[in-house]
Amino acid sequence: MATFTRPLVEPRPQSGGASATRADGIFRAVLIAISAFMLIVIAAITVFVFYVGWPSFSANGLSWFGSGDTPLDVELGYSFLGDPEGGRYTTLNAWPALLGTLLTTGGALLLSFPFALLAAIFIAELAPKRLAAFLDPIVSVLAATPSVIYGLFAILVLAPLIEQNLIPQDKAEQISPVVTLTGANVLLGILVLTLMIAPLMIAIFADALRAVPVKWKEGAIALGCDEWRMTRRVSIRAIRPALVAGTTLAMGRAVGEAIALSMATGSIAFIPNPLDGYFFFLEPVRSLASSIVDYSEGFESPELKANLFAFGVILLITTAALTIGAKIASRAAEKKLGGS
Amino acid sequence: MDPNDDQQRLDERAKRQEWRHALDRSADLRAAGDPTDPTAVAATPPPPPAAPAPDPLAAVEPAPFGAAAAVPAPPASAAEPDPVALAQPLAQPAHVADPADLVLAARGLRVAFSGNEILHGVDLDAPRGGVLALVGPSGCGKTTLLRSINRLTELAPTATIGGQILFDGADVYAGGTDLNLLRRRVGMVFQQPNPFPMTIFDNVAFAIREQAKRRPSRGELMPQVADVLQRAGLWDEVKDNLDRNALSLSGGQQQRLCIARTLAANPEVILMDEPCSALDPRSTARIEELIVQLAGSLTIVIVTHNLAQAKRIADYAAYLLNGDLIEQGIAQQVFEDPANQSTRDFVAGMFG
Repeated sequence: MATFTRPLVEPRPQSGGASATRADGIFRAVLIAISAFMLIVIAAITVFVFYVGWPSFSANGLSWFGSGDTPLDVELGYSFLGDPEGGRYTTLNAWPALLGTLLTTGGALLLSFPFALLAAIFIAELAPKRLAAFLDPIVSVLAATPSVIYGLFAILVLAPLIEQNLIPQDKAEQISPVVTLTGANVLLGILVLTLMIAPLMIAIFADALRAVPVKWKEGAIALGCDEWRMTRRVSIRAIRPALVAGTTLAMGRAVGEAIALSMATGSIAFIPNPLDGYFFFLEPVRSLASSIVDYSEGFESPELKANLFAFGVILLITTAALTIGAKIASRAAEKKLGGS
Repeated sequence: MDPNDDQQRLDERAKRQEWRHALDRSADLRAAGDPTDPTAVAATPPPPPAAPAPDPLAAVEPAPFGAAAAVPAPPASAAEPDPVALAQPLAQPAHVADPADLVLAARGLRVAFSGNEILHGVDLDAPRGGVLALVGPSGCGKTTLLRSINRLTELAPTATIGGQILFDGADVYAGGTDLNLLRRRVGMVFQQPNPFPMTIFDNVAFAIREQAKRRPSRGELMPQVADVLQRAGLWDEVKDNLDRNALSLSGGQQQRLCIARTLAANPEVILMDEPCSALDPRSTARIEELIVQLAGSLTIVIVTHNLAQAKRIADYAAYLLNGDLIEQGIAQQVFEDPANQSTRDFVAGMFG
């Protein structure tokens, strides 16, 4: 009868097994503690921002979201108690700041999405390997560049160009009683945001395109598609969840951008007039986030503080809604397309 | 798998092969008996100058290794056991009397990736209609040969291709070939089922929409979609749920959907690259059944690793080894009475 010098199945060392379990338990406990801490910090920030900002909403009611005749800068400081010199009580009408955020973010998304998609297709599908290997790190660096750099580039390089080439002197003078036209305006805000978020979108889209299984591409080519139609009908369709996720991420970054926009938009709480034709885009605005930055030194005034925190509440809600909305949308897209 | 069905299918297959065999027997005899027979010469591609046309009788004998001028040295792969006595490749297929009956033919096809030659000048004949099985051990170049037919090989940037592939007599590697048209006429089913991440309907309608001048409506597409799904034997399973995600189907259903999708392009030839290797036996049986049915109206060239499968479904067979086409002909003959020692060893299951 054959004898085995070693058992066929190594018995699991009891002590080792037990200690491994204990290590697992400790590891898990640490992770849970860290996550719980993060959650508590986020909750605390949210509660604090809502708490400080709430008086602004409660005092102004729904007109908070409207527009008024008083300049926003005046309203921000004096909206609760009235003018200290005995002037009239003013309401905070935050519409100019809301509009500033909407215009710059919306314009940047409209501009950067098609550009980013085409650039991603070029990098991921069409460019020769070497060129793609060269472009890839550039896109990553651009996506990670601090926004203040873009702001500097905008006011030092782009603003003079816009001022010299797009704003005729006579028109500027004609409009000067209402608002001073400079190179820093809606257009520059849109451009700087586009510069900021396009690399982010390109990086996300290109990664997704690269992850499209070769078998789908081959399948389309074997059915008689040329490469462009294969990309359009199969690849872009397959990366829809990434399109949603990347766009939302970029949108979150654009909505929250403060410094670069503060530099690029002229940072005047003006409501551009659609009747001015294309000058609409050459008039200054100030976004919610830029307003917070611009007035961040005035927190001794409780009214100003409450109003700026109220801006913060709007930004918090918007970004949270965007994140959750993106999750839902991209999950729905995945479900429909079965991104397995 | 119902054994009765299986048996019945095998019987049909045998009958059909017998019939083809009988038809071609005369050409066989002519080719073997009289090398100057004009018919045989017409069917014979001019042998490469390095390898003078072998004496048909000598071809049966395993030639000594050194004598096989046309057989290049086997690759220095240690993993691949040196197959028993490499014999002279059969330079001419004797199973097709009239070259016009060839829907596809490879002539001196050489394919290399990064300078590493995978196919060393292959002459393949695919008669019109029926199933041609490409068999051989792994790494012998079957798949490369198949993918060279619809010019998918060149998707790999390192590929270099020489020689000709004649499709209906025209070289697909000639300049000015419309690749998209070629790939519509020569469809392909892949090893891994690869339905697109869209609905079943959209998958099947893909090729039709691709070929349409303007975007056809769903109503216009429906009859065609239903037709090809029926031909692919999938209609009954999916007809109530055409808007289901194609990726939610089982592997076998996905592969039949891919066949339907290929059929929708209205091809004359379908290339299949081990279409059943990722499937369970039941799904495999269904696909084999389908292949045999489809072979009545179009030509199927199938790469298979599974010799039993090749024997079940093939009308013609070609045996490749290390990048050379060793033997081709009527399936029954190749599998049961091969002329070449290496083929004999392979079909006997001695290696591969």
